[in-house]
Amino acid sequence: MDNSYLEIVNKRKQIEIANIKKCNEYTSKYGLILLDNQISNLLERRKETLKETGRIELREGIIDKLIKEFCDSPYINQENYAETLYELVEIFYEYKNETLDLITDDELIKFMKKSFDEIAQGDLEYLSGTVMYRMRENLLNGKSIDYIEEGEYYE
Amino acid sequence: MNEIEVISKIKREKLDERNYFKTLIEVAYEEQMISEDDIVNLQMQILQLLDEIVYKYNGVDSSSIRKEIMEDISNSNIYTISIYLKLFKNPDEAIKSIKEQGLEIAYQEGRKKIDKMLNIIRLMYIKVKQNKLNIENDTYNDTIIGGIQGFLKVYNPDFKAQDMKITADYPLYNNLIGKLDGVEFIKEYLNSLYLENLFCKKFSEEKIKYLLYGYSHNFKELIINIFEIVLLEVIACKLVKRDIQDLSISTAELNEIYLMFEDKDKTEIENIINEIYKEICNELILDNEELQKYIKKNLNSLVEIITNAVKQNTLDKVFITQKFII
Repeated sequence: MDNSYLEIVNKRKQIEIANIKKCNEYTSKYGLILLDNQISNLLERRKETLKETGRIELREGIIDKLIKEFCDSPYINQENYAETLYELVEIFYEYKNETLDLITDDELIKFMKKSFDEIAQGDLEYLSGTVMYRMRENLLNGKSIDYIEEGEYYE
Repeated sequence: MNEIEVISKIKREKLDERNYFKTLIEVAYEEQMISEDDIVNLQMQILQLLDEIVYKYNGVDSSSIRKEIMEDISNSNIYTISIYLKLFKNPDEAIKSIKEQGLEIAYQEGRKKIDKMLNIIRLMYIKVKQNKLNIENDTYNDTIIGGIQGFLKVYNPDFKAQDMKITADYPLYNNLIGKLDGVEFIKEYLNSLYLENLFCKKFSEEKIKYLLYGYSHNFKELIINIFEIVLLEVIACKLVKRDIQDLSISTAELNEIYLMFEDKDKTEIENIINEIYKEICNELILDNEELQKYIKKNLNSLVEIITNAVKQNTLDKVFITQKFII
């Protein structure tokens, strides 16, 4: 058989690696580059997260979207770049589940970026534990995802 | 002229109705009608089809999907392919078709067949509502009025074709649970319900109500099959040579039945019930062949119930006597 399943999976992985590498051209102007081993780690981390969250990724992944959205953040530098991406991938899939797929990939990534830069000021733990949790509550209660009651602050 | 018998290598009865595609492939492989390469090729086609349908489900809004939804879609695809493959009376022809045309075509054809079945189901649903009994039994009424309608509203043939999560709580004489799924289940369920109503309509609704009251004062809340209770009472009437339209027997007549069966084994009881069945068909002028077959199909389970009741001296729970009917 020419077309075995494993071959297709491997081909897909190669395309994904090439796409992420291509992102380096774009992110280099912000001083951000992912090394080969970091790309492998990122894909491995994504695989584990998908397993943990019980999700399956289809044709195109979200890694290059995350990279392009977050690369201009003032809170990301070459030193914390890869580690931040690992965390962002985890937060993304966790909240895809938590929001019952009611929110699109693009909306979720944009919300994460805005919150990361503004309210969370680059604090991933705060983003994941507080801001994203509030967004989920808002969404499931039919409110706008960035709704905050008057006089109320994130704790 | 003798009919030409088409010899099929794969015997239809060997295939599992609920896992039709899987068992078809397994038996075809055993019979050396398909090779290992063919199986790998089919697996690839299944994955390609899955990829296509999942993409249709997700659209461009999401790049990932929850595993359980993926599994649902995968089962739905296989179910739809099976619907098409079951159209071939000769399973050998089904194998030939997927080898020549591939699974994508089988899926598309299966999907069209499901749409046709849904149209039939809608028509059957109208017929069932029309010949429904006017009897207060919650599961009976809730299933006919709400349950089937609910199914027609939520059934999703594109992504969950195998689904049959409906409020079909009303049990049938012909138990279908665990035998069929999706539209096949609903179609068979409605057909069975229609035939049961058709039979019960041969009797006065008032008499049926008295009979059910005799069965239990709480018959409104009970999950019971009205048809079976009526059929058993008709058998009882026939056994004691009473007018079957009475739908009731006296305590003395119940004892008469008990004495009649006391020394008989299961086969003897079965022979008597089979004779009674023929008499009932003649008397009620059951010219509907399907209804006759429907009753006959599960007559053995009634023989079982009667035989056990004779042994355990609980025949009064099977054949309802007048003393309970107020």
